Amino acid sequence: MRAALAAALGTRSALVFGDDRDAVAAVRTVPRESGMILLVIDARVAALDRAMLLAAVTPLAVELAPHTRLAALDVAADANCDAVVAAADYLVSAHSTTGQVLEVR
Amino acid sequence: MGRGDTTRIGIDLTDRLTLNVHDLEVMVLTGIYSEETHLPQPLRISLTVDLAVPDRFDPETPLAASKNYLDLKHAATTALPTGVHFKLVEAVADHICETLFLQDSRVTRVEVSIVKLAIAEAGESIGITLVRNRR
Repeated sequence: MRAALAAALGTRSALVFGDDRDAVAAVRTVPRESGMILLVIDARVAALDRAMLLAAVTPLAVELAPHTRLAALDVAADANCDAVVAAADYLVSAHSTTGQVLEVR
Repeated sequence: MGRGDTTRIGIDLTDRLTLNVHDLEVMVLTGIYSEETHLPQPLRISLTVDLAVPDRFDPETPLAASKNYLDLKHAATTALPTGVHFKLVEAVADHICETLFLQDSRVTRVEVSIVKLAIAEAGESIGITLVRNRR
Protein backbone atom coordinates (compact mmCIF):
# COMPACT_ATOMS: atom_id res chain seq x y z
CA MET A 1 0.00 0.00 0.00
CA ARG A 2 2.79 2.43 0.88
CA ALA A 3 4.51 2.01 -2.46
CA ALA A 4 1.21 2.33 -4.31
CA LEU A 5 0.41 5.56 -2.49
CA ALA A 6 3.85 7.00 -3.16
CA ALA A 7 3.60 6.11 -6.84
CA ALA A 8 0.07 7.51 -7.21
CA LEU A 9 0.71 10.80 -5.47
CA GLY A 10 4.21 11.52 -6.73
CA THR A 11 5.19 15.04 -5.79
CA ARG A 12 1.60 16.22 -5.26
CA SER A 13 1.75 15.47 -1.54
CA ALA A 14 4.18 14.63 1.21
CA LEU A 15 3.35 11.29 2.80
CA VAL A 16 3.66 10.58 6.51
CA PHE A 17 2.91 7.08 7.72
CA GLY A 18 1.56 7.22 11.24
CA ASP A 19 3.04 4.20 12.93
CA ASP A 20 2.68 5.79 16.37
CA ARG A 21 2.15 9.15 18.02
CA ASP A 22 5.58 10.34 16.85
CA ALA A 23 3.99 10.89 13.45
CA VAL A 24 2.73 14.25 14.73
CA ALA A 25 6.32 15.42 15.09
CA ALA A 26 7.04 14.05 11.62
CA VAL A 27 4.16 16.08 10.16
CA ARG A 28 5.56 19.22 11.77
CA THR A 29 8.97 18.65 10.20
CA VAL A 30 7.72 18.23 6.62
CA PRO A 31 8.97 21.18 4.55
CA ARG A 32 6.14 23.72 4.30
CA GLU A 33 6.69 24.24 0.58
CA SER A 34 5.23 20.78 0.00
CA GLY A 35 1.78 22.39 0.20
CA MET A 36 0.02 19.15 1.09
CA ILE A 37 0.64 16.46 3.68
CA LEU A 38 -1.21 13.17 3.80
CA LEU A 39 -1.06 11.30 7.09
CA VAL A 40 -1.76 7.61 6.69
CA ILE A 41 -2.84 5.77 9.83
CA ASP A 42 -3.00 2.07 9.21
CA ALA A 43 -4.52 -0.73 11.22
CA ARG A 44 -1.29 -1.70 12.96
CA VAL A 45 -1.22 1.48 15.01
CA ALA A 46 -2.01 0.83 18.69
CA ALA A 47 -5.46 2.03 19.79
CA LEU A 48 -4.21 4.79 22.09
CA ASP A 49 -1.81 6.18 19.51
CA ARG A 50 -4.46 5.92 16.79
CA ALA A 51 -6.89 7.94 18.90
CA MET A 52 -4.25 10.59 19.58
CA LEU A 53 -3.26 10.84 15.91
CA LEU A 54 -6.85 11.22 14.78
CA ALA A 55 -7.48 13.86 17.44
CA ALA A 56 -4.40 15.78 16.28
CA VAL A 57 -5.44 16.14 12.65
CA THR A 58 -7.75 19.14 13.01
CA PRO A 59 -5.49 21.19 15.32
CA LEU A 60 -2.49 20.37 13.12
CA ALA A 61 -4.38 21.50 10.03
CA VAL A 62 -5.06 24.83 11.70
CA GLU A 63 -1.41 25.09 12.70
CA LEU A 64 -0.23 24.43 9.13
CA ALA A 65 -2.80 26.61 7.36
CA PRO A 66 -2.99 28.47 5.08
CA HIS A 67 0.17 27.44 3.23
CA THR A 68 -0.02 23.72 3.82
CA ARG A 69 -3.02 21.42 3.79
CA LEU A 70 -3.23 18.31 5.92
CA ALA A 71 -5.49 15.31 5.48
CA ALA A 72 -5.51 11.82 6.96
CA LEU A 73 -6.52 8.34 5.94
CA ASP A 74 -7.71 5.97 8.65
CA VAL A 75 -7.13 2.61 7.00
CA ALA A 76 -8.58 -0.69 8.17
CA ALA A 77 -6.58 -3.92 8.08
CA ASP A 78 -8.51 -5.41 5.17
CA ALA A 79 -8.90 -2.21 3.17
CA ASN A 80 -8.55 -2.56 -0.58
CA CYS A 81 -5.35 -0.94 -1.82
CA ASP A 82 -7.10 0.65 -4.82
CA ALA A 83 -9.68 2.19 -2.49
CA VAL A 84 -6.92 3.62 -0.31
CA VAL A 85 -5.22 5.16 -3.33
CA ALA A 86 -8.53 6.56 -4.61
CA ALA A 87 -9.25 8.16 -1.23
CA ALA A 88 -5.75 9.62 -1.12
CA ASP A 89 -6.14 10.99 -4.63
CA TYR A 90 -9.40 12.67 -3.66
CA LEU A 91 -7.94 14.30 -0.56
CA VAL A 92 -4.89 15.56 -2.42
CA SER A 93 -6.99 16.87 -5.31
CA ALA A 94 -9.59 18.62 -3.12
CA HIS A 95 -7.72 21.87 -2.83
CA SER A 96 -10.34 23.61 -0.69
CA THR A 97 -10.19 21.05 2.10
CA THR A 98 -7.88 20.62 5.07
CA GLY A 99 -8.09 18.72 8.33
CA GLN A 100 -10.26 16.00 6.82
CA VAL A 101 -10.07 12.34 7.80
CA LEU A 102 -11.38 9.62 5.52
CA GLU A 103 -11.95 6.15 6.87
CA VAL A 104 -11.24 3.37 4.39
CA ARG A 105 -12.85 0.14 5.52
CA MET B 1 11.24 44.06 33.44
CA GLY B 2 9.90 42.41 30.27
CA ARG B 3 7.15 39.90 29.76
CA GLY B 4 9.70 37.15 29.44
CA ASP B 5 10.76 37.55 33.07
CA THR B 6 9.17 34.86 35.13
CA THR B 7 9.98 35.70 38.71
CA ARG B 8 10.17 38.73 40.90
CA ILE B 9 10.55 38.40 44.62
CA GLY B 10 9.53 34.78 44.30
CA ILE B 11 6.24 35.54 42.55
CA ASP B 12 5.47 33.64 39.36
CA LEU B 13 4.89 36.26 36.67
CA THR B 14 4.52 33.89 33.75
CA ASP B 15 1.71 35.00 31.44
CA ARG B 16 -0.70 32.28 30.55
CA LEU B 17 -4.06 31.74 28.96
CA THR B 18 -6.29 29.22 30.67
CA LEU B 19 -9.08 27.46 28.79
CA ASN B 20 -11.80 25.69 30.72
CA VAL B 21 -14.13 22.97 29.56
CA HIS B 22 -15.94 21.52 32.53
CA ASP B 23 -18.58 18.92 33.33
CA LEU B 24 -18.47 16.76 30.23
CA GLU B 25 -20.34 13.53 30.89
CA VAL B 26 -18.64 10.70 29.05
CA MET B 27 -19.14 6.93 29.03
CA VAL B 28 -15.78 5.17 29.38
CA LEU B 29 -14.65 1.58 29.84
CA THR B 30 -12.81 1.92 33.12
CA GLY B 31 -12.44 0.35 36.53
CA ILE B 32 -13.65 -2.85 38.06
CA TYR B 33 -17.23 -2.15 37.01
CA SER B 34 -16.33 -2.13 33.31
CA GLU B 35 -13.96 -5.04 33.73
CA GLU B 36 -16.71 -7.21 35.18
CA THR B 37 -19.64 -6.04 33.06
CA HIS B 38 -17.85 -4.99 29.84
CA LEU B 39 -20.01 -1.89 29.97
CA PRO B 40 -18.77 1.70 30.08
CA GLN B 41 -19.38 3.77 33.18
CA PRO B 42 -20.27 7.45 33.32
CA LEU B 43 -17.55 9.93 34.18
CA ARG B 44 -17.79 13.68 34.60
CA ILE B 45 -14.62 15.15 33.12
CA SER B 46 -13.39 18.72 33.50
CA LEU B 47 -10.36 20.19 31.75
CA THR B 48 -8.30 23.23 32.64
CA VAL B 49 -5.63 23.86 30.03
CA ASP B 50 -2.88 26.48 30.14
CA LEU B 51 -1.44 27.83 26.90
CA ALA B 52 1.55 29.97 26.10
CA VAL B 53 0.23 33.35 25.05
CA PRO B 54 1.35 36.05 22.63
CA ASP B 55 2.37 39.42 24.03
CA ARG B 56 -1.02 40.89 23.32
CA PHE B 57 -4.48 40.05 22.01
CA ASP B 58 -5.97 42.90 20.01
CA PRO B 59 -9.30 43.13 18.18
CA GLU B 60 -7.75 41.82 14.97
CA THR B 61 -5.91 38.91 16.54
CA PRO B 62 -6.86 35.84 14.47
CA LEU B 63 -8.73 32.88 15.89
CA ALA B 64 -5.63 30.74 15.55
CA ALA B 65 -3.96 32.75 18.33
CA SER B 66 -6.11 30.88 20.80
CA LYS B 67 -7.25 27.28 20.92
CA ASN B 68 -10.53 25.88 19.77
CA TYR B 69 -12.55 24.79 22.78
CA LEU B 70 -13.79 21.86 20.72
CA ASP B 71 -10.26 20.45 20.64
CA LEU B 72 -10.46 20.18 24.42
CA LYS B 73 -13.90 18.65 24.28
CA HIS B 74 -12.80 16.13 21.67
CA ALA B 75 -9.76 15.16 23.75
CA ALA B 76 -12.08 14.12 26.55
CA THR B 77 -14.76 12.52 24.39
CA THR B 78 -14.20 11.30 20.84
CA ALA B 79 -10.42 10.99 21.27
CA LEU B 80 -10.90 8.34 23.93
CA PRO B 81 -10.44 5.10 22.01
CA THR B 82 -13.47 2.87 21.87
CA GLY B 83 -12.91 -0.68 22.97
CA VAL B 84 -9.96 0.14 25.22
CA HIS B 85 -10.43 -0.61 28.91
CA PHE B 86 -8.62 1.74 31.24
CA LYS B 87 -8.05 -0.02 34.55
CA LEU B 88 -7.64 3.33 36.31
CA VAL B 89 -9.35 6.64 35.70
CA GLU B 90 -5.86 8.07 36.15
CA ALA B 91 -5.01 6.46 32.79
CA VAL B 92 -8.03 8.12 31.20
CA ALA B 93 -6.78 11.44 32.52
CA ASP B 94 -3.26 10.80 31.25
CA HIS B 95 -4.55 9.92 27.80
CA ILE B 96 -6.39 13.24 27.69
CA CYS B 97 -3.26 15.11 28.80
CA GLU B 98 -1.08 13.39 26.21
CA THR B 99 -3.63 14.05 23.46
CA LEU B 100 -3.60 17.76 24.21
CA PHE B 101 0.19 18.02 24.55
CA LEU B 102 0.66 16.13 21.29
CA GLN B 103 -1.72 18.19 19.17
CA ASP B 104 -0.69 21.67 20.25
CA SER B 105 2.82 22.75 21.22
CA ARG B 106 1.42 25.83 22.99
CA VAL B 107 -0.22 23.70 25.67
CA THR B 108 1.96 23.98 28.77
CA ARG B 109 -0.18 22.43 31.49
CA VAL B 110 -3.25 20.24 31.62
CA GLU B 111 -5.43 19.62 34.66
CA VAL B 112 -7.99 16.86 34.35
CA SER B 113 -10.60 16.21 37.01
CA ILE B 114 -12.68 13.07 36.78
CA VAL B 115 -15.71 12.27 38.92
CA LYS B 116 -16.97 8.68 38.91
CA LEU B 117 -20.69 9.30 38.78
CA ALA B 118 -21.77 5.71 39.27
CA ILE B 119 -20.33 5.31 42.76
CA ALA B 120 -21.97 8.35 44.35
CA GLU B 121 -24.58 7.39 46.94
CA ALA B 122 -25.98 10.80 47.84
CA GLY B 123 -24.77 13.18 45.16
CA GLU B 124 -21.21 13.38 46.43
CA SER B 125 -18.35 13.81 43.95
CA ILE B 126 -15.75 11.06 44.12
CA GLY B 127 -12.82 11.12 41.77
CA ILE B 128 -9.36 12.36 40.94
CA THR B 129 -7.50 15.38 39.62
CA LEU B 130 -4.36 14.85 37.54
CA VAL B 131 -2.04 17.70 36.63
CA ARG B 132 0.63 17.30 33.96
CA ASN B 133 3.11 19.93 32.84
CA ARG B 134 4.92 19.85 29.51
CA ARG B 135 8.51 18.76 30.12
